[in-house]
Amino acid sequence: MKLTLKKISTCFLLLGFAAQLHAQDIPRLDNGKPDMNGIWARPYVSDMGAAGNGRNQTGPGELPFTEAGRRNFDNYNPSTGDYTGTCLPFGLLRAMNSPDPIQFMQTDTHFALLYEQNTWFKVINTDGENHSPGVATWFGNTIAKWEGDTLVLTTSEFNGKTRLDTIGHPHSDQLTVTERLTRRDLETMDYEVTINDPIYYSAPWTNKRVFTLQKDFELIEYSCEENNKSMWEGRIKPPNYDNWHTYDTKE
Amino acid sequence: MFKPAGRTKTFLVLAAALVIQIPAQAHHSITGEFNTEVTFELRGTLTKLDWTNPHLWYYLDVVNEAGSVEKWQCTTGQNPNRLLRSGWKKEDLPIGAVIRTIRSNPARDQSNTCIVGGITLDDGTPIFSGTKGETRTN
Repeated sequence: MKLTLKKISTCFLLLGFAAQLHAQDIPRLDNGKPDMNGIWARPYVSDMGAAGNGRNQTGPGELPFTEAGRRNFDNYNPSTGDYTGTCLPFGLLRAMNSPDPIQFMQTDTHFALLYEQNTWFKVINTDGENHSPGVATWFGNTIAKWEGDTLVLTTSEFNGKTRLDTIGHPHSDQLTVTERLTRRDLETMDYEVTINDPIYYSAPWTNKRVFTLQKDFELIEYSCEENNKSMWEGRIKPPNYDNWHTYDTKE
Repeated sequence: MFKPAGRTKTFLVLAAALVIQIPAQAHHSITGEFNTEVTFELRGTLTKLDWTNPHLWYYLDVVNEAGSVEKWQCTTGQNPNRLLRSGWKKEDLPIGAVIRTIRSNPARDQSNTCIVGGITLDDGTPIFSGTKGETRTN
């Protein structure tokens, strides 16, 4: 078959039209924004750097540690202090990496994330403005905006008392997290998170995963404090924040 | 080398060095509390079950080689919420049942405490594993 420029152009036009149809095949609110409401199952991401662990998530493989980042990660030892084990707030990333489901509730003005993990929540104004209370927090301060059909959450002002994942990748209080949520179709949502922390990483890096909508499903109360025997009996120790970071005095 | 005190006649020390395992559903790192380089199994009688968050706890009477009873407590990465959604209930494991632990790691504090990768009834039937009613091998 002889491929003419006209035929090739027609193919691209049809492909583009099909892609546009596919992009529109998602539920929307009355304001036209993609409907993110629902309870979503998420892959457990214990190592955000892993190139893929078969659980529907993909990291960069090797992380671009700075010298301080490498030193911090190599020295991490949860036996000397485990903040999640003591039920302190997991922070944004550890909460998003949890295997427990999450509910999104969305209005024209706000986006709420309800984490079953430890029954936490986070509510974000989606007007694109900065509503910072002016204090550093466990989950950070988020500015939300829509880029087309993608909800972009940019978060900073972290208190620096958490880690990125279970394996212990560090972050500093200079961390900026950019999360991009894109509803792919009726059942799934793409979740892409970019880590930008010049203290511990020499370049931004990204982890991608897919959330799956759960039907006939409700969140259940989850109390981390209910029976935390491991801490009560002294096997899990609280973290020592005096030596949590490796950049305060050495960089 | 970890040497468990509460061994039964069927107790097995299966593996030692270089076995790193993190239960897929644990809410925090387990390596601080447990020695994941040592793996063993226990067989004992269930005396109590904490069907609680953040994780379940099994309490076992284990008969050691000398014939005396040693009390063990073992946790798991599982929590009640996930088990409920998989069809399991606390009543599915009655007090007094003889159970076996799978891929157990000892606590670093040398107490009779462990974390298990799973449990079965004495006949090997997995319990609190996968979706209730579906065949699954631990």
